[in-house]
Amino acid sequence: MTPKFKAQAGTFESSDIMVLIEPVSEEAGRQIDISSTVMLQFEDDIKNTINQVLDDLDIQNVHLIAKDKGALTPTIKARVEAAVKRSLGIQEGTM
Amino acid sequence: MSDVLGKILKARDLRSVLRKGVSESGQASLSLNLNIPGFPKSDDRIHSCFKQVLAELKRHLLSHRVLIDSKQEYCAVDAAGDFYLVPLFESTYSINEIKEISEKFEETHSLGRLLDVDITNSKGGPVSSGKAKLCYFCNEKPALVCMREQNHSYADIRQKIDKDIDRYLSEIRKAEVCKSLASSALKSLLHEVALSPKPGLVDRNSNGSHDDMDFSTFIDSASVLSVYFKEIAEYGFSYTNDDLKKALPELRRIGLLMEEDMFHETNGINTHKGAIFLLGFSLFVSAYLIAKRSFSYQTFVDLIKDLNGNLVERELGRKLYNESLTHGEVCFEKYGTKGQGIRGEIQAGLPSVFQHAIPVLESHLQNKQRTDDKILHKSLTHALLALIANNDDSNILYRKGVEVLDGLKQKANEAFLNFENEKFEILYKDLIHYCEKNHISPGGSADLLAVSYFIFTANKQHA
Repeated sequence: MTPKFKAQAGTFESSDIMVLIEPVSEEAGRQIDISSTVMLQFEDDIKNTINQVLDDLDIQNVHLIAKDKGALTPTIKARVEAAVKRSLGIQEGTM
Repeated sequence: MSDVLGKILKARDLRSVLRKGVSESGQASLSLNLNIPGFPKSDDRIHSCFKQVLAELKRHLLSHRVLIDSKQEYCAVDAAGDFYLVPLFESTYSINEIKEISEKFEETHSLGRLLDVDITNSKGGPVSSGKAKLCYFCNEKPALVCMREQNHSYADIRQKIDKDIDRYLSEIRKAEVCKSLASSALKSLLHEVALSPKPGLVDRNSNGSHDDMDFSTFIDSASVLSVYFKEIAEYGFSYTNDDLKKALPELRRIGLLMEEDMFHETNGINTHKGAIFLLGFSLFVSAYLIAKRSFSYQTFVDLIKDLNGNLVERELGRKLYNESLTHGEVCFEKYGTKGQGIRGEIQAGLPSVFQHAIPVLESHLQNKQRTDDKILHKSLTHALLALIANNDDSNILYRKGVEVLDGLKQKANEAFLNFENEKFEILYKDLIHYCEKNHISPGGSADLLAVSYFIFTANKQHA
């Protein structure tokens, strides 16, 4: 599946993550940009978690921007999933 | 996604929406929450801790002249825990200076990293100082590293949080209790001396049977004693040794200091020696019991007895100094049990206070939310009569002998029994006249009145 809309989920609260999704053309692949207050050492961790959610939801083409404020893995998963579903138009939410 | 996590994330969404709402109206905002890992993020204890911290934070902001829009404050407890949000009025500070002021609050607070004060600028962006805060638990690695690596077990962190919150709440309770006890102690001295007219005693309008002191002497003396009341209460509140007698040397040390200061203040006149003794013990015992949440009239009496043991034989049976005898010692030698004075009263667990004065005070004041001069006048006069009628005042015994003392007790008892009827005014005047004529002053009963009012107040506030 490919995201159709711009969408976001999450907040800038402590221990949370803000996830923004921008639709890209088919065949564009995944582009994941992370800015984190957590040391760079966790960037790969966060990226792996995000990729895992995208794999599960079968999203191959997407531009995902994440601004992390120290979220734990379950929070990252929940926020990415919500953002993707909103971008697919299958979950209500604010933009 | 678990149900609990979903609720927490939803609560955070709401916070974010609220912040956005403030920034859309052009204002920056400040928020407070506690960093509590896991779930639940609040309970009764955490909530009362939050309320205390919030009150401190507001005081901190006001004292730094950071103005909050308190009409628009938001305070709630939800799945994400306790949360407070308030818009900031424009001030002479830049938003970064306000951030610094709020960080100073976090850094100097005893709960430190448990507190999270966030500033959002008027464009809706978080204001960060860029400092990597250290982990609350280990205070070694950056907090975010320990969080992601889950370096500390959830149980260990919650245990430390519980301990820290307990300590913080108990510090606050101690400060509140000791402040209220110290204030009650001074109040009891002032209301006693201000009660007018009194038989033989110094009051607002008369020196009674005294020619070396007046109302102002008592005000001066009470003022200098009040400096020590909080110290005694704090000593009692924090006293943990099961053997209460081990507290006596320190209590005596403070008592001696109070006496020195009293004599210095009054130019050598004894205004409050008895009151120092009675109030000193009462402050200590009250604070000690309130700290253990076991204050009652009965536990108070038990402890006073336990603390003083065989005070009469110990102190009156032998000489402390080889100098001249004190009045109390002379009386004991001459009159035995009837002449034990205040030491006998203490050793018996203050029967005059608990059996005579406090029941009278309760009958007048127990259901009163507020007191005023009129109701205090009535209740304290009534209680003073109950005390004079029952107290073998060694001061009068020493100066005038047993007949004058018994005459005084009898007249006080008549006035006491007729307190509510039309004969009272005459009987009370007669009692005052009797004291004038014999030149006596029931100072011991006045001391007991002050301590009765103190214990009654402590019981009302802390039992």
